[in-house]
Amino acid sequence: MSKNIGKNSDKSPDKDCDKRCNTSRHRASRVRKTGALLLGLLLCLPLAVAAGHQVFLAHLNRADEQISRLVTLPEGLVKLATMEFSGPASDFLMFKVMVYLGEKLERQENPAPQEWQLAHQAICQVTNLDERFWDPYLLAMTTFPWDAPQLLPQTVGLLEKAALARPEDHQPYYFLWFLHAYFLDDAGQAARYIRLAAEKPGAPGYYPTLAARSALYAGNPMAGALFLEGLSGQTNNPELRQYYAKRIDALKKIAFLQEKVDAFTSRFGFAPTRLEQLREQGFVSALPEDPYGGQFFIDAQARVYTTSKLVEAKQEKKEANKQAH
Amino acid sequence: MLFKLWQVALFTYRESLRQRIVYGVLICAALLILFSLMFSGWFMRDILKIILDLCLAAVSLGGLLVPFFVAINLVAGDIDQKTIFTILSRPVGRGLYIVGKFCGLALLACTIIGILTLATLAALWGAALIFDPFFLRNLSINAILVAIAMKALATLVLIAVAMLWSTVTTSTFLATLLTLCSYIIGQSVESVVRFLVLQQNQLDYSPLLRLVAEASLYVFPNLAAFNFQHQAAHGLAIAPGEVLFALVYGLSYTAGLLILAVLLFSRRDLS
Repeated sequence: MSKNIGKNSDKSPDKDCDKRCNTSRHRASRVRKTGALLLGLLLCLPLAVAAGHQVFLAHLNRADEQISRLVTLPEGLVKLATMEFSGPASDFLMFKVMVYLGEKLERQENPAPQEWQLAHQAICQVTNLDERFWDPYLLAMTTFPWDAPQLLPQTVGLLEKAALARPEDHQPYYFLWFLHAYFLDDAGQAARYIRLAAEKPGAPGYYPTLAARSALYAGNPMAGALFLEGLSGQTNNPELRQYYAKRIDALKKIAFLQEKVDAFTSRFGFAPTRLEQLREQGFVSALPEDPYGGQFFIDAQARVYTTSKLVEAKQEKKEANKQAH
Repeated sequence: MLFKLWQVALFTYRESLRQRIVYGVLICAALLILFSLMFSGWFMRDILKIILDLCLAAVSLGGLLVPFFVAINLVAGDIDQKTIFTILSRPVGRGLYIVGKFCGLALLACTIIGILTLATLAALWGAALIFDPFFLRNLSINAILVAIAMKALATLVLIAVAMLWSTVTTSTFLATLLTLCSYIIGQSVESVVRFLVLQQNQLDYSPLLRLVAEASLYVFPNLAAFNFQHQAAHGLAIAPGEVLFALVYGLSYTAGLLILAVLLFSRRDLS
């Protein structure tokens, strides 16, 4: 026993040394491994960020990619494929449409006709996934007729779909009334729609009076400004409120100049041909500027309009107009 | 017997809580609910709908976690790894084992859905603080609670489906695959049958196809029957009759599946 103890005690310093050496070697190898991993991470992370940014930039310039491939799929298939998640799917698709159009408006670019068509297709898909979702109808109503008049019939179709999906809501019929009265100059249809809107619960009391006045709204800029003001007050998105504010400003300026042109006509018995005549005769102290970068003018029917057609002018054109002004 | 059932259920519940994936998905779902508040701020008018769509989707995903990841692993895993013999060597019958496991998993699903419901209510409270009351005017707590309760019922049906497939098959992979197929068919079969019924005069299709589709509607669980998310998101009234039928359908279908699972499991050669 004692021999054994002696043997053990003789061997123990060597064993301890081995253990210590092993531990220090193990530690060193762990430090080396951690260092290598950290180095790898330092190399990979910036690479991933840089490559990710390049992918994002590449996607930014691809118009068809910006909304979603869901847009081009058959409606029935999309509805079936999204199963119990059709609500969130409609939200994400709508978000993509808003980002797509929002970016264009932010960059002060007017989307090309095919891009508007894509936006319309996407809105149809959103309303297919959730036909009661009000935001897509609202977006269609506040952009298509104003910026893409070629989509006016499609906007009417979308609002008729909204009227069916939201039977208790007076707003789809009210919008249809406005489309027919303001853009389509169809007082008969407009009166029918506003009567239908007036029958809905919670409809404002002034709706029945609009039926008789529908003809007065055709192309009336003040009516357009008031309509958009009403919508702007009920919109949460600040970018869209800014978008509405610009259009309201332009419409109010047109309405103001039209009023002065009418006053000029009634005083002199003939309409002015140039807006400068209003300033020369003291009707206005200064001519307002078009917020879209165009120039206001008087057409052959003595109606005031703008060269921008209430669509964002290109930056160079805007500067040229400013200089000319 | 009830005590034994409770013990098996409690054992299953504790065992399933040990799988950390549950906590991971709970954190993800809670983050999703927080994200819903930020995401909804981008929209124009239907802010409440956006919040509820995302929160109720999180509730659904949290519920689906139980049949797909926990139930199959527990039941088919028990058979696969032969750990079932440890349980069955005690005075616990095969039927009691199946029903007890189901009760434990149902308890787990209710816990997850309960936590996510609280998170949904917290998200709505946050929305009331951030947004104008105009944007939350359609809020109906009753409709939300009914929709969540129906989601819980759909989860119970799916757990029963997962248990049935686990008792029939020999591997966890096969059981997962069959449960996934049942889920997809259950979610879409109603739409397919509705399409066939509505288009029967316009489209020329085989009567056999319609028969198969209609039979699937009754054979597979019609999970769309429990979907009241649309009504909750838009603040629409839910017809009590519709809820009652869904409740009876869900409970009777689940009971039927469990009886079938017990019958098949009792005859199964585990050796």
